[in-house]
Amino acid sequence: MNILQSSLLVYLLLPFVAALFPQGASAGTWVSKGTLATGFRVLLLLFLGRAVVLLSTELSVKAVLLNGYPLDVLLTLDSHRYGFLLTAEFCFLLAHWMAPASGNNGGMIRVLVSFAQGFCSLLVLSNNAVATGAFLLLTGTVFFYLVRFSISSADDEAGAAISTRLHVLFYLLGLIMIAWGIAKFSGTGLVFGRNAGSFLGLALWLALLVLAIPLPPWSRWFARSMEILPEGVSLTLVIFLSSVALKVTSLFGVAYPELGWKQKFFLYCLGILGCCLSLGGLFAAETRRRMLACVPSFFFSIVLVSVGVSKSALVLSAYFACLFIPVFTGLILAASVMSARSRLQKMFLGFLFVLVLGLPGTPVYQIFSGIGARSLDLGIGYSVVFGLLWFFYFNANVHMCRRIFMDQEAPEGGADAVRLEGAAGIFAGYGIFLMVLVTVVAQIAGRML
Amino acid sequence: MIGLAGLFGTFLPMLVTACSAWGPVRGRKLWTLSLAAHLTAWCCFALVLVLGFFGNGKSSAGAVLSPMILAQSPWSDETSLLWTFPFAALCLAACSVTVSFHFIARGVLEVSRASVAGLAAYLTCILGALGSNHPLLFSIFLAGSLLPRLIFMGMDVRDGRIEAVKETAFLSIVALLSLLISVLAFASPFRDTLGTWFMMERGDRIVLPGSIGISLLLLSAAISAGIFPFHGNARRIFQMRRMERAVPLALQPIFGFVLLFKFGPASFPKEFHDFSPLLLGLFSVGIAYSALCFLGARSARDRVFWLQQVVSSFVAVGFFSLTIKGWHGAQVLLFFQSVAIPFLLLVLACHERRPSMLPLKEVARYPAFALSTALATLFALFLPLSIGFYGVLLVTWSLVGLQQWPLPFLILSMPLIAFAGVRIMYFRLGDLHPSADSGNGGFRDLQRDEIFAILPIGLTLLVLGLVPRLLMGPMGISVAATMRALGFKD
Repeated sequence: MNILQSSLLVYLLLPFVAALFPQGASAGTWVSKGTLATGFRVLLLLFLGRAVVLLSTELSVKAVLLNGYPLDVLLTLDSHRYGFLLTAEFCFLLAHWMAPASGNNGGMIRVLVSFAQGFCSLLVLSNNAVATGAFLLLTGTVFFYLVRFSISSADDEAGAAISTRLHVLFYLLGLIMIAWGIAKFSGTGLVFGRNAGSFLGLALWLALLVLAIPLPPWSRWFARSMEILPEGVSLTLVIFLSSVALKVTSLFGVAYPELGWKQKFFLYCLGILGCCLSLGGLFAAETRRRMLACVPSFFFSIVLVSVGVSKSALVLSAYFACLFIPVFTGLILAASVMSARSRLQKMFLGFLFVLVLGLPGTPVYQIFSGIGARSLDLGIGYSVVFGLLWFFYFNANVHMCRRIFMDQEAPEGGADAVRLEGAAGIFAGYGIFLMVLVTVVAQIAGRML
Repeated sequence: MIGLAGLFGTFLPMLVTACSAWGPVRGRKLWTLSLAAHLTAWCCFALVLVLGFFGNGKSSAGAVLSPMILAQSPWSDETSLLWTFPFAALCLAACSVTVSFHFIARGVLEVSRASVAGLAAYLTCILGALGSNHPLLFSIFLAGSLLPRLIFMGMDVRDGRIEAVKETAFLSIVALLSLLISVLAFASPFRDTLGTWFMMERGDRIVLPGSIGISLLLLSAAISAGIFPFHGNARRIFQMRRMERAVPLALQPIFGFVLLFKFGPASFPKEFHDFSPLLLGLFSVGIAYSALCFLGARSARDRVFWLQQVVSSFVAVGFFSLTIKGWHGAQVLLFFQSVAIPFLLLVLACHERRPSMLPLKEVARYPAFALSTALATLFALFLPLSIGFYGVLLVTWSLVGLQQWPLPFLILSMPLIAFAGVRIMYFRLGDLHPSADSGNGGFRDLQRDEIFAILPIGLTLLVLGLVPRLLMGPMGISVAATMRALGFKD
């Protein structure tokens, strides 16, 4: 094992190690074992960046669980995954800062956020169907407890329902992933790859994709969770869901590069339906807080639209969407509890406005330009739908920005809104950095992939 | 030397039974003596595993033979105790459970000599059954286990429970008789000797069909294991007043499954080959039925019971797949069941000793209690940090390409388990009940004895889940060797 592989291994194990060490009672919000571990992970990723991005090397780590069966944990880092993980790590740092302070289960929540962070990277890097399914199964339990620890007494019932839904959802995703692996990749040692497909395998993959995306109208739990959970927990959930969406869509390129038009059309219709309902929900939202889930939902639906119109094996629009969703959610959560008073905050809000509107060069522009180009190729019907979609997205953003930045009503947040508002300047500065980062990563990815 | 350790470990607990009956040693001294004996038995089987299968380059495909011949030809074949890797591991699991039981039921064992005697005798019977290399020897140990079981259930008599004891006694005798008839009519050397009983005057023999033998064997195994569709009586164990008394009795399925694994296909290879698709279907339905009942169970005790039924049905499905992968999964699940179900019962016993369930908000104040509960969740849901996950995976996998039609039952039952599992995650929402908070008799973290009882086996299961090849590797080699010897292939 060379130094690069060792670094990758340390990177993967750090959150679990950090979670196992007891948190001192005096540990603050900004410097905790979770944030330290995340900072170190970012450094390790930057160290690995030279080999993975500049030299286009694939780094692999393998652990043999059981001799005689193809149940190895095979983890591979390539430039495609690297970009997502780098962005996700910075978002996790934000999630750690936004997580509830010590006391009132704050310590447990931080431990569970660390676990979610660890499983997120394992999930993205894993190349074996059973290992991927196993990580999903475990994540279900992590999020079950994360949500339960996070909810306040007033929201007990709603929180209980959300936690149960999350647990069952991830359990099902894990089971389907394992079943899909056995059905499709038995001949190749359960490692994802191009293989002779069967109808069962395809049906399982479609089920996996549809279940992995919190798609309206059956994602009310997602909207509710964004409304009642603390900001850090909501952000953790969104990052993880993005990683699941990225995993499943990237498997599309590996396993089904020549998906039939009927299946693509089915996904496209589902995606468009999800987009319409998300935007409708945004216009209809009574409070700022209720609006928050609508835009991530919209971008999750865009992932399905991207797969529906895709041509090449790598669905770039879906990749950009998965890259952008966690950053955008973090920014919008920070903005939702912020009153634009200082210059830095105003600058942050201005940048955010530019980013979400989708000016050229931003990830949103890259998402829409990719889908738009393919829609033009596919004919007038697709082009009209795409035009309407972009138009309504634009309007929805104007509406959202007006509500967040210009309404006179007091900012409203989750359980930790008051604490977060106190540090609004720091969040604004970090938010600007995140926006620049995601734009740079998307630009590099657009050129490399 | 290694075989001697196994023999010593098997019969050492009987010394405790003798001491209990003798009289002068009682109370804490008897408890200490019993614990020492059980720990020594545990060490003996650890020695068998380490030296017999891991040490000196020995192959896991082999077996450790006891030096003492318990019966000889011509009355019987050379009958002795013989441990292959999976059964030696099960011996270790059974010893671990009884050692844990000493801590959780310390109060009971210090005042009840009958319980100590029953526990020790029960362990000896289990270890003997696991080591038996002839069905007649197995029958003797099965018969021997009846009395300790009745003691354990009978000691807990309350309204109507005496009926449970009678029912258990009746069913056990039926199981024993079925087995004895099957052994005497079909197992060598009795088959040849007793075949003359059916000799006609002109020298023609009436040969009993093998289907009768396998039916009797299956009846005996199903009743002994207490599995679907003979699970009614097994449920009684989970209805005892003191939950901890059910802990050793949760090892009961070992008898039924050991009978199947050791003597089933070896005695009736053709019949097992013919009958296995039907039985595979029956137990696939059993999994779905048990999972549904698990989902619908109203009490924590019932949930553990139905979980045990789910695991037992998975073991049966793996067994009747008659493939190496299926048997491997089944053996792993049998080990998992023998440790995880008692573990769940131990956790449940601790929960029942508290005035209320632990609320989520208080988890940090009671770390040992919270850890044990979280581990219970991990095992109950077959999550990948327990070997149960790998067992279920192998059993299900063994059916792919072999018998596809039971697969939907298995696949549909898993989401049901996920739904039901939410309710086995014992932490509750809301605040701690005022009467339970602090003060005398209030909620408290696990006490020293409870920690000794729960955490070692919980952490052992966790370690085995994290490093599954430690147990599953040698088990797979041993199972493959056994299956090939029986003429089955994957």
